Amino acid sequence: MRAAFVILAHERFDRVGQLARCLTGQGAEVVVHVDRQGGSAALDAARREIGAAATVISTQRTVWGRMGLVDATLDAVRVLLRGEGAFSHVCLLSGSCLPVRPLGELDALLAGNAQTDFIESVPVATADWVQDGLSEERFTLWHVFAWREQRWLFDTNVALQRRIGVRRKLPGGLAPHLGLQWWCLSRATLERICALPDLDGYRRFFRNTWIPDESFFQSLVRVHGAGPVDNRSLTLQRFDPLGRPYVFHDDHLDLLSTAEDMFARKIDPDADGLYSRFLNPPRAMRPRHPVSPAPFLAARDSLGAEGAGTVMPGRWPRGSSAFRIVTAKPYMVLIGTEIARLRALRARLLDTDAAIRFHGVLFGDTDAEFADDADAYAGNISKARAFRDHRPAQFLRQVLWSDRAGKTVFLLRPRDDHQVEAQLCRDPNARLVLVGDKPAADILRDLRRPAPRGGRRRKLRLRPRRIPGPTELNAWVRTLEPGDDAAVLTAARDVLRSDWSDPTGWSLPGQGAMS
Amino acid sequence: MKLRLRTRLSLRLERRGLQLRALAKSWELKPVTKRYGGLGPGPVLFSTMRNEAVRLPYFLDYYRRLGIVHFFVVDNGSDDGTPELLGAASDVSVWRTEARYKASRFGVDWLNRLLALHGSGRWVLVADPDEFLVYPYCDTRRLPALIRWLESNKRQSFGTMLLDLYGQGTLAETTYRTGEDPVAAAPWFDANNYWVERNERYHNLWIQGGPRVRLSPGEALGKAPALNKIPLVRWRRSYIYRNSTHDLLPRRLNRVYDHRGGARTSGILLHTKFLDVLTEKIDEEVVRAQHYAGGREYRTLAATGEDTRLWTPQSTRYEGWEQLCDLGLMARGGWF
Repeated sequence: MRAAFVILAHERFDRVGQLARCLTGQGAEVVVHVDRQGGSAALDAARREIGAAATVISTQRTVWGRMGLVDATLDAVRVLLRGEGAFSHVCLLSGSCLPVRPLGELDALLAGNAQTDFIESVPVATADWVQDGLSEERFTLWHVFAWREQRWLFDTNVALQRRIGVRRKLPGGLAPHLGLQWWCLSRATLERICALPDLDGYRRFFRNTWIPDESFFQSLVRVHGAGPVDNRSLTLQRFDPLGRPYVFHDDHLDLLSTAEDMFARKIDPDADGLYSRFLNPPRAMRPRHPVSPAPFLAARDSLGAEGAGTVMPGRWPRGSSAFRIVTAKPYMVLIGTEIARLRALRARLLDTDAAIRFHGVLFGDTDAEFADDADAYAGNISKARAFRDHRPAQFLRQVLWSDRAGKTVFLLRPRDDHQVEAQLCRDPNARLVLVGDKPAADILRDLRRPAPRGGRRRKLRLRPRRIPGPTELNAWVRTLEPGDDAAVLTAARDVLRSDWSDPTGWSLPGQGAMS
Repeated sequence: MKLRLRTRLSLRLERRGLQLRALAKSWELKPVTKRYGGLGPGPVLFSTMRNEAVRLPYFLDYYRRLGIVHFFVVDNGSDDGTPELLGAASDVSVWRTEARYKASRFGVDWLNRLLALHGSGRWVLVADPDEFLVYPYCDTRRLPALIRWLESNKRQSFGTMLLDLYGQGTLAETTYRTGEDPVAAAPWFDANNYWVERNERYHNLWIQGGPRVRLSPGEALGKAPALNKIPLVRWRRSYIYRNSTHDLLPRRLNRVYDHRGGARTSGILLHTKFLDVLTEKIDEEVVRAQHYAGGREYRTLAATGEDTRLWTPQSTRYEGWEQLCDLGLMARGGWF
């Protein structure tokens, strides 16, 4: 085996033990560093689980983002270098890594690149490598507080130094480089780094940078590396928008077993399927290719886009209320004062576009009239007026959500209770088409008339009651000018066929002639 | 500011009052089997039940598979073999009470007491024997993985919605035999007839609707049963369930939703109440009148009895968690 391994671990030593045994079983030398924060109990547990498979040391407190991680790595590397193993490279892994390709492939790779250092190392000036947080200021400012435990101190410290204009210089001609913590460096490089006369000087500098485990070896290898640098990590690790590594579970088996990377991190400790698959790799491996970013992007997008247009236990956009709702997509409302005329228009427009769900009068004095004339609409929305009038705005949200794959059009004659009217006026997704038999401005004024106040009123009123103004108008409005039926029909057809998602050409009244 | 202080004080008083109430009710609970000694890490489940011998075996198995390490059960006067089943399981601790369900606020006071004693410092799940938790990826990831994800987001509670399931036929035709998957017996649900509000005092979402509301359209809709549930919580001694598992105090635990336009990881409690075994209970429960709103729901059911039919052509058949995400009933919330 050409590779030796350093494993940084702080928990789940049962999994660490499995990983170590898997590596040593194939002839590799392994040193495990156990976080000293766990005390002797953790060390005992680790020794028990790992057994004789690997050397276990525990010299450093490995706090996230602090120098302890680098020092622990250096200590473990020294143990390896002092030993008698005949390895050409050292791979740095964590306790939640798994080899996702057979180690034979790693061996072959290293045999062909005996001098190469495999380490992601990106110049900080050009890097858009950082997902979240500081980039160059990781090096130019003094970082003495732990970001996770002492967030306020950390932030204050950074703000203060920015104001003063602190700018630290890197020692010994180093250029700051960033990259993934997990690398595979050649023995020669590591021997040179460990033997550097000014190693303590470097360590003193990096002690007060932020996340030195992502920059110490990455910067040093550019100056003190013994061979060429292959600018990639052999470990597959991706980060979410908050800079936390994505965790792999059993359902990612396909993704991992076709990945071209040698190792993957982080593996969920309960992912029995992944552990049993990759600790005992079958002989026939599936063809491998670079991991597609699509599933990671989908997870990122699911933070925001999932279920946009509805509310659910995990989603309640600020400002929502029973009467002010979110809508799934642009929709069109044909508004008029003569209901018979609206119905006649609808009957002649039904064949315009198959993608349109053309409802009748949803909010009338009788039950709701759904497009397919059913008692219950998709999702079991009841047409009964009792349900609809209980929360009219939410009824609208439900209908639009059920129709989210198509286009929704419905008819409306302004009613007296005005709950839906207010919602329609406020909603930028609403496309209101005023079918004129009254002047459009009159219909619109009627729509925007504030709803009559219901409920209990206080008897004692110290201040005079504020007279509410018209409802704010965020909806987009068009008018069908009165004329002969054929002309109105043609105009309506044009509107229905147009692309409503883009509201250019729809006047936004409230400003201009319409109001 | 003054008003906020007043709200905070009144919420705290309410919480203390509920804690005292739970303490006062604790004498009603008689320990039967205590098997929680030396319990390892992992989520635990708390439940109140009465005469659930038919449902119990599958219920226990389902949650064991999800990674529940221990069950804390209040047996409210069962006489159908439930005590024997509970006693035979090695991972169940049982308390028995003959006291009235209603007087303990539908079992919440009892559970609050047990939670304070045995739930502190753990992730606890509170579920009835007819409630089955599903969440994104629940077919491949067990509860400890979900909990790690919640903890990495610094969440202490997990929001769900109760989704009533029903069969295609009448209640009597929705047959269920012990040990079977009740979701297979009653796989249909309403996809999109729920209305949601936010309670301004407790900050929980208040969800109503679904087939039970369709069943009794004449009743006041505002009094329809609440469907919002927060069944999974990293418990502390100072926490208290206020109103069933619909909401908790302190109220920050009720903010299980994203309000900046995104979605947080959330789940669904599949509610498999409407099976033929319910018909045997209806008559008894109408007489006992120990359920929510004077057992109104049971009275409605008694009127149509075993001929109750909830299914319509617009009902949706349950296929799995991905379908629930697509329907906007629950969310992955960035979980990869």
